[in-house]
Amino acid sequence: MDNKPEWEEHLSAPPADGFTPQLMRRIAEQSRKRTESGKPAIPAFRLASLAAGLALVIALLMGKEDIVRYFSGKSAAGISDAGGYFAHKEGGDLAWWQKKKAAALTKEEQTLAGAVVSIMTRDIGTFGRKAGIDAYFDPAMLHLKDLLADYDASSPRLTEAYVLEQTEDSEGTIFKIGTVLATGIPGDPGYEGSFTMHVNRTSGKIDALSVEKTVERTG
Amino acid sequence: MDFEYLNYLGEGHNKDQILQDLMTAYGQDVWNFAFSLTRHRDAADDIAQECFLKAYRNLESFRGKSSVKTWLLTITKNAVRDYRRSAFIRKVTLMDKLPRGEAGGSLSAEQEALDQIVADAVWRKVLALPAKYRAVLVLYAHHQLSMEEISQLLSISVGTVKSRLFRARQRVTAMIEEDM
Repeated sequence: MDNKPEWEEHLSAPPADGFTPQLMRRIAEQSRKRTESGKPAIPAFRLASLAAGLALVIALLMGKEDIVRYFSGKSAAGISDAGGYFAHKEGGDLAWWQKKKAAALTKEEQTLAGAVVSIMTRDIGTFGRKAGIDAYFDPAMLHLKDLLADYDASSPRLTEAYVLEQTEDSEGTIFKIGTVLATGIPGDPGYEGSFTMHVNRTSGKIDALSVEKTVERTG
Repeated sequence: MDFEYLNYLGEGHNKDQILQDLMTAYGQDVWNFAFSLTRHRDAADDIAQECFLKAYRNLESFRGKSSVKTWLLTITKNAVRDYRRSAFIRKVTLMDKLPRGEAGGSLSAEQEALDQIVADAVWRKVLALPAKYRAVLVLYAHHQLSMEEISQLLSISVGTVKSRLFRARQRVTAMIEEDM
């Protein structure tokens, strides 16, 4: 195995000098603050995840009407609440979404339910592979399905999905979907996350997608 | 610096001093591993911070099953995983609505930024490798970890470590030959 190529010698030196005295001071300062306050210091990227997770928890704890109010307050400018065919926080396991797909009345409803079923059955085919979910994407936006890579795994896998938010913009409908992922390990609470998709009104296809977060469940 | 005493930490130890010592001894290792995995300076800063604060919080739980360096690099790897999962880098932007070609500009800007940080041509090629090959090669060639340590750190078999190292070397050698 140890037939080292000559160029490997270069790698004994670091690629860059990034651990600066300023960063060291920043960390020491954070740890002191933590000791004084008794609270953990949290980096910006972790805060972003936690804030998003907190929003999800708040949403799940609130009643149906409250959720509508909560999210309508968070809507971006120019986006209005859709009357919609999905009740907020509506959703469930694979059987629920299969039933919804079979009973879908509109193109957008069909696309959302079909895409969720594809994700739950891992018919995603990220990174260039063809799969069932392709039928629900605008062909020019098919690369966006790569963002679903976290869901294209045997563990943790998506077991439940809920419509947390449904809004309309001038081109179609934005669905924010809350997800529950299970690992199959006894006692493991698993993960929760969300993704948001924009379904174009004319084509009935997904033309924008984001996978906002996947965080460990706390209990 | 010898961190053997971490195995026997009792009440009243000076955690701030230990943190200082850990950062002095392993700060560059942690930062460079985070940078190798993320290829972003700011992300490496955040992850190094997260790593040392986590180590600080969990000093008492270190029981010497691995070396201190491997312990810190494992925390770093987990922090990178969390970073990748975080909303921070997963936010939908208008760029997502653009076809691939039109969004390509940001990739070259990213490459340019990377080239400014990393002077060595071989390192640039290593950083261009897919993440799974990059991690193994960096841990082996730069951090001097054994196959067994890499296997534990990345939660993969020793056989997989060997095959990834083989392929990583193959790819970098091919890239170097292409340039000649």
